[in-house]
Amino acid sequence: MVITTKTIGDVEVVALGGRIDAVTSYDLDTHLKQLLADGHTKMVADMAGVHYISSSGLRVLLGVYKECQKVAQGELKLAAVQPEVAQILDVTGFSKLLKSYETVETAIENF
Amino acid sequence: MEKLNVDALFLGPKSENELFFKEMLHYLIDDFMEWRKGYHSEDHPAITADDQIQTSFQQTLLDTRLALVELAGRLQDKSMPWFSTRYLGHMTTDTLMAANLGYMLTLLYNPNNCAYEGSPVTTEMELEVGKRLAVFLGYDPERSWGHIASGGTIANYEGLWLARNLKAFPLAVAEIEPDWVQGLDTWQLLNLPSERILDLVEKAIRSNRFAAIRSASAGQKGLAAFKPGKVLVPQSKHYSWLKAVDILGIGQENLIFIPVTDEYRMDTGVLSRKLAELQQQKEHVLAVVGIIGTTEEGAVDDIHRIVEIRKAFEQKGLSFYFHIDAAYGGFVRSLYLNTDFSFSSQTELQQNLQNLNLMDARLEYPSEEVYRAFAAMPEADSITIDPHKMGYIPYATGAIAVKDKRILDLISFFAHYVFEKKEVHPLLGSYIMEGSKAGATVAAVWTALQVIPLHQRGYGQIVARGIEKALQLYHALENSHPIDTGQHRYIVRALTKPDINIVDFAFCEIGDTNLEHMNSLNQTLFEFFSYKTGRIYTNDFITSKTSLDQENYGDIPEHFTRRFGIPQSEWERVGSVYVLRSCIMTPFLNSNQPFDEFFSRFMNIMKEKLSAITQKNE
Repeated sequence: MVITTKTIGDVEVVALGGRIDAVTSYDLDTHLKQLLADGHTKMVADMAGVHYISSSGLRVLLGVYKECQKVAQGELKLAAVQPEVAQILDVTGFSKLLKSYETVETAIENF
Repeated sequence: MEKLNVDALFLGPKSENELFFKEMLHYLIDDFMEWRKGYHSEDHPAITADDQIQTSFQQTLLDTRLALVELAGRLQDKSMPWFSTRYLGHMTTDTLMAANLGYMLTLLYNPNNCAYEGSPVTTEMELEVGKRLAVFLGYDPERSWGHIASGGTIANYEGLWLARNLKAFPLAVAEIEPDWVQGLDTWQLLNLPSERILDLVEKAIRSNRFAAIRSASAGQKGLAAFKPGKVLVPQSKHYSWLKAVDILGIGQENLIFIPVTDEYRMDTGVLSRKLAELQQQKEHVLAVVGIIGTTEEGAVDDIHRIVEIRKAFEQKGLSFYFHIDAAYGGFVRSLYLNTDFSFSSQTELQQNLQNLNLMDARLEYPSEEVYRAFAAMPEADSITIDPHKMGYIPYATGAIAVKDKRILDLISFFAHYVFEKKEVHPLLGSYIMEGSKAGATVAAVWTALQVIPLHQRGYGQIVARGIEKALQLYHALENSHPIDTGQHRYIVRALTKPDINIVDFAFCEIGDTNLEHMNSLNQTLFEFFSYKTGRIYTNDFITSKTSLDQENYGDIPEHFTRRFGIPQSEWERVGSVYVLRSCIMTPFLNSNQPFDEFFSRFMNIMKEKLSAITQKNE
């Protein structure tokens, strides 16, 4: 899985590419937890390059979401979610939890 | 008869049979949903559409989804990939689709096999399965009985419970109906053969004296009525026997460990001498336990010799209950059974193994002793066999079969609130140690046995795959060249030639005669190949381990360490050897790849880890 990060204002945009599964979720978890440790609690996960996410990956997102929520105005948002992933988010209830936007820019604007 | 296709029985290491599994699962779930709806369809729904749109309702569903995803995620992160051919560790592998689906369906019906009224379908199934297993193990279908327990441990407890109450019965007869055993002294009463005791049980029932006699027996009076006697097990025993004698009041000091041979089988010469010694001391023997498939080595005890020894001692006035712990190796018997369930002659067996393409003839399997051990199984009073091991059924399913069902009256217990004595329905809960237990696990076994016969063309095919690979692995290890990591050279050797499908092996640095170093090396290797180091899901190879120590095995393991050039003084100083243990249960080890390729990859992985260990030490 490819993970790249850029900062736009006070928001960390994390672009993901590939599957988020039991193999790659560990690296994602490490990366996002490092961002949290560095004090970043406004994050947008750019999901344009992700076509599959497993429960292992969802756990990571949920964990980071909860940590971000602990800080005022902190939040993990999703952007550019692909249809296959959107279906998974719906079935698992994650679509009710994690706000999702069509583009990264819209996600940032809504902080 | 078309041969069963093993590849169609499992989901597969890469979920190859995903479509079939999902199709059947969806069908079964849909079918169950309709069953619910159809029960008095005129009844109004308990949960309405208005209820379902309530915020609290939706929130509760959301909480449920999140909990399930959390569960799924945790399982993905840390579960053992049993299904993979890279997993060669404990006695677990992929499980049968028929069993999994049967279990998943039946848990929705949630039957409790404690009493018939809670499980009309699965209680009947349990008795059917119990009977099938008993017949499979060689028992007379009219006289035998069997049932599913939650594991081999409970099955072993039940075996010893039966033994205790059986041996105690004649003393109670002597107290209540002395005429029936006139002329027999205490020693003779304690050494009546099982068949004779059961004849007394039958006589007591027919004479309506059973309740009175039982009230004087160990089950009612406890061990005040009966000095329990000795239980003889091989040193290679499962730890459940230590618990069993404790729980049943026999006491661990009455558990005698018989040493093992170089093949890690019970030394029957020592057994015979021990029995003679106990007879001399007038110490009666409650039971002898033989093992088919020891937990650590997969050894098959010489069951036929134990049977011969029992017959010989019965001629001299000493008898004992004989139980076989075949929790692990029991299902291997399927390899020896023709399609009419007759036991193959040795010639027939070799022909069938070749004609059915089950085993490479060069492996010369089975040995004479192993063949005779499996042939002698029906001579035992009871046998433990675990479907959740080489039955390829999910946990938790053990089983016990008894040769003569009259013995069940010695442990039967009636709790009137659970079932009615006068009902014609099977009184399962009366004859078993456990109370409430899942009918779903029984359904899993039942469904599997509907698809896979317990003979060579059925289960025999599955178990043969693992045994063949184990023997090939054994030979490959024994003939392997040293592994050179640059500055160090290592050698690997197997503990014993497998009797079934377990290969224990260890590495040693050539020239290093320190046994502690060897143990540390193998322990570090295990840590690389287990949950202890890094993430299991990304591990190249996963195995298990065991330690063979002097306290439990005497000096037999020294014969192994000696092969590495380690002197006897080291064994005496350190007293244990750490080995890696691979149960080759997967049926897919050489699918789509020749064994040599697998072994080459295996040795490359070992070399990589040995290099890492070498670098770390420097």
